[in-house]
This record gives sequence, structure tokens and C-alpha cells, in this order.
Amino acid sequence: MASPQADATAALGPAGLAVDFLARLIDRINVGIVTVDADGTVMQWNRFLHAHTCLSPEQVIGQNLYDRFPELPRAWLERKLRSVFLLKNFAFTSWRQRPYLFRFDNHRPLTGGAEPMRQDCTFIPLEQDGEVKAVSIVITDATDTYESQTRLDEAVAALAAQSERDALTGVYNRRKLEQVLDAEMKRARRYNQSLSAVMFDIDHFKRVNDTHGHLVGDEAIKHVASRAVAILRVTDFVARYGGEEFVALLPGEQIAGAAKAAERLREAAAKPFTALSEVPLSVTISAGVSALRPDTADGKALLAEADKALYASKAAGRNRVTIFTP
Amino acid sequence: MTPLLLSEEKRDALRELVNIGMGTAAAALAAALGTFVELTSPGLEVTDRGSVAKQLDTGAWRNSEIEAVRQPFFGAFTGESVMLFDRPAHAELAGMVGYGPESAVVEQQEVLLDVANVVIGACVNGIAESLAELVSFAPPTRLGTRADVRAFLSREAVAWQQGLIVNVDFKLEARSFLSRVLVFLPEPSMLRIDQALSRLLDGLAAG
Repeated sequence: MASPQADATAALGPAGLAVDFLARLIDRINVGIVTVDADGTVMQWNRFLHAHTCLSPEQVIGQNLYDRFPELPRAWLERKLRSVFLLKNFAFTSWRQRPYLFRFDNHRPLTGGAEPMRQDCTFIPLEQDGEVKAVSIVITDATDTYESQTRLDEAVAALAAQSERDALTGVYNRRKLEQVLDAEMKRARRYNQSLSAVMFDIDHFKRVNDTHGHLVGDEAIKHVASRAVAILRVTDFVARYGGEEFVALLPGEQIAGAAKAAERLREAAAKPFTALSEVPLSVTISAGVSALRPDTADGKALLAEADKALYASKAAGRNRVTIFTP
Repeated sequence: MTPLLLSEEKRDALRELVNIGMGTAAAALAAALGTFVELTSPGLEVTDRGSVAKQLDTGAWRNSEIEAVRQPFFGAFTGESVMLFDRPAHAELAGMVGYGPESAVVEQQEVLLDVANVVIGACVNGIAESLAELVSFAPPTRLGTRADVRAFLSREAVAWQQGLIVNVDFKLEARSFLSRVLVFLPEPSMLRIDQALSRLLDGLAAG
């Protein structure tokens, strides 16, 4: 004889069974499903949500969603739901713009860290007689996507940072200088501000290389770069232009101020430094200074003037700063 | 260039269907947002991929900063839709739904996603429902700025060769924005629309 339970199941018939299975499926599916009516009263609360909130359907169904969960972004959620009721249209939210609707711990308590679960939500209008009677919010766990996206973003940011830096010295490279130079020129012109450029290089660099070897030459380049970064302001921009040659851009600085900064740099660079655990060594630098004038054609012209002044420093005996005079 | 699918008569019919959809969307958006919204579609073009890219470099769009949202759809017609907004649209739309003018970038993006979801839905559903076909939508995602749109359009291995460009005039109270909906369909879907339009037009002629 069949049990009363089997009788009850059999009595449902195939169509009834399908409805019964559907209800179980909705309850057990591995996404959150909460259904609310137009007043915000909860009509459905599945097991996924039960498990994450530790609130059973009995504790939630029949209650107002916002009263039960005061931490929800009410104004936003009401607007979103209202539009679904009116438009009879699916609506979506992504973790990219709104990290989560309900704050849940992520599903990996041991490896996931303290980050809350990232969620994508789909708002589904449930119509009856041509009218939306309720809206189901389907909440999916997007934490995995979030994490791989975050790692990707970090890798891209690191690569971007590397691609604008000089590998030996860590100061900016020439490509970045050319981008910044254009932007700084435009900015200075737009806001009617000063902009100066200092071009400097190591005196008799070939002799350093020939005497001490290229590794020591590299140390000399690093020494000068690090002095420049230390002496100049954080808003100044230092780039290795090529070989032993550097460019510094000094936004907001007039030519006299830039010349003073270059002079401080010249003095600092001349201090002895220790290369590769050998005896202390010293090098000198020559510098040329130019400043933006109303008739300066472009960034290239600004650098060309600093370069001419640098050449004048070399011609006058090196280890000095020369101001470009038009 | 392959000859354009859809006869002039069918394009006219499609234009009507899109306009009906836009009317519904505007009314619903206005009700949802509590502000006067007018969406009109003065133009619908059937064009190929290369022309779409060219159009973005001409006219009013040439110098505008673009923010784009994409949304795939599937079912009777399979394709992807891209909605383009010009720069002033971001801040204005964000303000309209209650975020301040200084609202965070993600909030502004969220607004554009919502608006694109409604407008693309109206546009594609307007066509599908009138033709008694069923279409579902995947979530909209941010496509990005002009460079991203260009990359999207120039991607080698895309299935679609022809698309619909739907110009949408977006009016909010006294202000209006540029926006544009691009609907890209692979050829089989385009043929299906063509056939469905034939049935619709035959039905109208018979009735």
C-alpha cells in the first residue's frame, strides 16, 4: 500500500508536479530571489537569501522590505522598482556601479577575505492581466568576476606606470615627457601661468664610463636622477631624456626661480656618492634653463631653448647653470 | 558594400514601429522619473558597419565626448545594441534622477545604464512585439568612450555587417541632448526582420 505522502504527490498529477518542482527549484537555486509587490511587501524569499541573512521566509514574507532591511538604499531601490512596475521592462544592476544590494559575506570564508559579496541584480516584472503585480529581484554572486577584474585592473595600472618610467632611474621617460610637456604648455597658456624647463646632463660622462666602467656610469646617472627628485618640488616633473641627459619641467615657476632650483641641483649633484662599494666618486652637471614666453611656439621650442643654454654652459667650462636669452 | 537589406517601404514601416516604441518609453520614463520626457526618433537608417564609424566622425557627434552603453539581445532576433550619449547628457540625466550635479562617476554611469536599458528595450521590443516576435535582453554594460566605441566598431570577427542607426532626440523639460541608438544585427536576423515586415505589410494590405 502506498504511503499517504506518495498518494498526495501522485494526486498532483503531471501538471501539479511541474508546479511543485518549479517552486522547489526557485527555492533551492543558487541565486537569491526576493519578490515584492507594489507596496514593497515581500512575497517570496528563497533559500539562498535565507542562508545568507539567517532570516527564514516566515520571518520575512508579509513584511515590508524596507522595514525589515533598513540598511537597503531605499530611495534608489524604490525608484528602480517603480520603473519596473511602470515600464513592464526588465531592469538590471551591476556590481561595477553598485557593489551589492544586500550586504553578504562572500562565499569563501577561508580564502575570500573580508570583502562583501559582489552582486548583479535582475529585476523581473511579473504581470497578470496586463499589469505588473510584483517584481522579482534575482541576485547573482559576481564576486569571482569582481576579483579577476580587480586583478586585471591592477596589472594594467602597473604596466601603465612602468611604460612611462625609465627603468634605470625610476624617473619618467622621454615618451611621458613629451605627453606632459604638451599638456603643461596648454595649461600654462590657458591659466596664464609660468612654466620653466631645465635641461641638464653629466659633464664628461664618457670619461666616467671609460675610467670606471659602464656600471659605475649607470650609478652616476642614478645619483643625478635621485638628487633631482630630492631637490625639486613634487609638482615638478623629472624625466630622463636620453643617455646622461635629463629634463625637468617646473610648472608655475618663472625663469629666475627655475635657475635657482637648477643651481641647487648643480650643487647637490656635485656631492660625492658611493658607486658599487668603491671609493666615493663625484660628477658635475651642466644645466640650461628656459621659460615659456608668449611667442614660444610649442613644447619642442621650449626644450630647444633650454638645450641651447645647456650648450652655452658646456662652452663656458661646464659645471654651471645658464639662462636662455632670446 | 553588400546591397542594403530592407526596401524603402520596409524601412518606413520599421521607422513607425520604432517611433511607437519610443512614445511608450517616453511616457513610462516620464512617469518613473517624475519629469517631462520626450523621445522622438526623427531618423532611422539601415547601413553597414563602415558607415557607422564614419558617422561618428561627422556632424554634431564629431567633437562631442561620447559615453556608450551596450546591451545584447537574443531570441527571434539576435544582436547588440549600443546607445551613445553626448557629454552634457551624463550630468543632466544624473541630476534628473536625484543625484546632484557632483554625483560620483559610477552613479552617472548607472543612470545611463538605466536609461539605455529603457530606450534600447523600447526600440528593440517595439520592433519585435509589432512583428509578434520574442526577444530577451542581457544586462546593459558600459562600453566606454569614443575610443572604445571605435574599437567595438572595428573589431574584425564581428558577425554583423549591417545595422540600424536610430537617431533619438532626447528632451527633458526644456533641455535636449544628443543620443543615438545603434542596433546591430547579423544577416540572418536582418532577414528575419525583413520576412516579418513582409508579413506585417501583406496583412495590412489584405486588411
